[in-house]
Amino acid sequence: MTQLILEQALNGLQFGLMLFLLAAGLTLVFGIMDMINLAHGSLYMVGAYIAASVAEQSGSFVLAVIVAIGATAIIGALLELAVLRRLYRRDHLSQVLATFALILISNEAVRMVWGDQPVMLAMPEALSGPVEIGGFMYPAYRLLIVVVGVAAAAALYLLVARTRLGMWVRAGASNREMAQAMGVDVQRLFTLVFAIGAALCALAGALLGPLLAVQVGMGESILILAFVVIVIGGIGSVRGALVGSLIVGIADTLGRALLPTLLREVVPLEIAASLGPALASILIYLLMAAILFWRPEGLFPARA
Amino acid sequence: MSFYVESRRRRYAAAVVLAGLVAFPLLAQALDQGFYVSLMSRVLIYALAATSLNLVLGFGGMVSFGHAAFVGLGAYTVVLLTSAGVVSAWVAWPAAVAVSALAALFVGAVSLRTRGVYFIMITLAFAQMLYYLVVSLKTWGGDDGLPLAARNVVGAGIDLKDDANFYYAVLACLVAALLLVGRLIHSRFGRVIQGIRENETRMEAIGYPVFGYKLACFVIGGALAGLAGALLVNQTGLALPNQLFWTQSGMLLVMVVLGGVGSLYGGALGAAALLILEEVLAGYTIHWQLGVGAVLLAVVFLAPHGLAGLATVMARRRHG
Amino acid sequence: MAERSPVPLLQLAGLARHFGGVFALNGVDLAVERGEIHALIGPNGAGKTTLIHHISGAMRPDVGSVRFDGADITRLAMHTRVARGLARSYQITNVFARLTVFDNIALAVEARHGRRDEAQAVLERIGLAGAANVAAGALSHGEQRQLEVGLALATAPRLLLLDEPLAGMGPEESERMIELLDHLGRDMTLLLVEHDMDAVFRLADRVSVLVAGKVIATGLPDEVRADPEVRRAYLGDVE
Repeated sequence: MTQLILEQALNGLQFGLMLFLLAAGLTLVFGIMDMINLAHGSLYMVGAYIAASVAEQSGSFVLAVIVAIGATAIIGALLELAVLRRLYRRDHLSQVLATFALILISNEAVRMVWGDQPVMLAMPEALSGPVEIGGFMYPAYRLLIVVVGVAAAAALYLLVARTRLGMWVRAGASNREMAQAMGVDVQRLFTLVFAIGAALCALAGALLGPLLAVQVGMGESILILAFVVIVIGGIGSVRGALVGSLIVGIADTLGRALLPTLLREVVPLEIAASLGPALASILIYLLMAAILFWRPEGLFPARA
Repeated sequence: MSFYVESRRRRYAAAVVLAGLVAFPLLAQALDQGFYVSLMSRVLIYALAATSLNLVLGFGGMVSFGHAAFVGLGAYTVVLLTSAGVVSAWVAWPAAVAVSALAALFVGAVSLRTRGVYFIMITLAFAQMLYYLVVSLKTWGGDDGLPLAARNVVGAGIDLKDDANFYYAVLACLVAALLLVGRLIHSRFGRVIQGIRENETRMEAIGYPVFGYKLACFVIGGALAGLAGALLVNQTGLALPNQLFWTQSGMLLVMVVLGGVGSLYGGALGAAALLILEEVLAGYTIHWQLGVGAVLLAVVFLAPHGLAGLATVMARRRHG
Repeated sequence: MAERSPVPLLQLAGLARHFGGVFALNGVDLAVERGEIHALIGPNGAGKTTLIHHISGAMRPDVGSVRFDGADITRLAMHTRVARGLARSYQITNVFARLTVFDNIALAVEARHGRRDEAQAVLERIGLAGAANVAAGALSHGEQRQLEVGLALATAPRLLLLDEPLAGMGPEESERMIELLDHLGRDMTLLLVEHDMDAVFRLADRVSVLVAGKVIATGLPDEVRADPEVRRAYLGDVE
């Protein structure tokens, strides 16, 4: 039993770290540009697709990840320059609709290039087996994801907390007008933040590709989880995004694994069989509601 | 001062459209194009759903991104009741309204404590929660949904299985809903809601219990959405969890904005426009969603007041 | 035997509120007596608007209490305080720009379930009867400030909180506003936050001075003007 819990906890950590990659970019865009970007999930999808194509053509997983990150960052920057920067001054509804339109367009664009069927992103051979940690076996690939996730989180922390760019980002997140007044080159900052966010999405997409299906619409489901993370963590806060994603990732994974079993101890089998999975899947939303009731601005709101 | 075309001209236009809608099935059957009656029923049902969202968004100023969940709940309520033997529309449809209203009460009570971006995301998350709830309950059909055994019964010798009869039932519901929303908008309640949309802080400062009014508006919108759901499942014969997925809520938002936020017929106009656009584009290419996306972008950047706004601008130009 | 003096209409006791380490309000004690015009003055950043927020209900203090007519309203919602007779106007004009002047006032009247036509009387009182059908956004600055006061007045308050009603006004407009406030002061209690010293010393029955989140002096205008601590903190060497 403890082995099951440990394994699921690690899975939760892994999922949470990938969620963090998406949530971090999203929360920065919200915090600094005050913009809702529904197309964030589409960048994740595009990253996965590009990685799949490159991996298939070249046979190298590492190359695939690198190219996916670079290409998606460029796509993100272009998107920001062409469409998104016209939305900063608009109301939230307009932002929602315009980025929703981008989802429709990008889904179809992907369909036109790659077709309707899900594509394969193969797990690298060397990592397809299990590794031994602390007495039990755990998939090597998932462990890699955890390692990369932690490294990315550390790198992002260093960037935000210790560099000048990071200082501008934090200033912009808590008070955009003041940051502008103090001479921060806002236009370039925005494009850069967006590109970084896109790169993180692509990394998550490429890494999760072998585990989940690479298909049109994959961005839409994970996007909502990223929103839940940000709402829990507090808009504009990268630290909040990290805490939020770990909470969501671990609670969701452990919940799905353990709740049905736990329920069987308490209620009759027939009810547990249908109620268990249902409760597990809405667990994080109930968690979100509970946290919001106590703290409507999230755990670490960046805005004053 | 409303932005939109003056009332008298609009009422006249609406009367003409209504006459056309009433005559439509007779015309279609005369021309042996009976299939279109079913299509128009679908348009009218979405017109109802979009109108319910327009009340919340256009007049109430609340960007609710989870409205499709209330439609879906209405659909599931009707299927569950019907399979339990409750086949009368007079019971099942009000029940759908009540269930959706209750769900809206719960979602609204929590969500309306927040503002702006948080509110949008929270309504989104709660709707998604309802989706996952419905999908994971295997007894409710899971991914495949729940089929409706037969259309509900209204009695008085009218069989809703006949597409034309069903069409008139839907039209009656839509007209009733538009009348209700129209009365609400011009009542004190409507003035308060629009005042809240204009300047929420000041409304509170002059003594209005803002939270209560917003919640009431949200619940009424949810209730009407439940009716749309009941009609939808009668039309399609199948309650699907997909109907609650957040992208469906996005489509409803598109309809409202396309038609013109805050204009009484905006929801209906937008629903008709979007569905007709989809039909036309789908005839040309399987990638019709790209076309919809492009049109949506164009509307956001070029015509933010939607179709109703364009009509107003054109009318103003013509009449100086 | 002397009669017990009536309870102050508004009583603040030990009100404190901090924002991220800074104490915006640092233990405010204040009493506003029935029927008086009480002015609250102080340097910029002293916390005057924050204090108004706490009295009106837009914010809740960390510690301390707000009592209105003897009842504790510290945790009450804003609209409930308005229903009890406590209304405020804003320093930065906050009217319904797209509605007519009449509709603005009518909204406020309807909030207390009054009849819409009562708005006419309010309009006459604030001197905007002639502009009833003008969109509020089209009014001059001075007229908007009058409407600003009118909105609060339309709720039929017992205590009117006015946050810098004279803000941004020229000499003529100021004069009109001062007269209006003088008239209003005869029917209700006013708590007036103001920078315009001329107006303050003409209108006020009593004056309180707020510096760095604390009230350092309260009393008759001349007493306060002569108080050495006040002169040091606020009035400088003004004679």
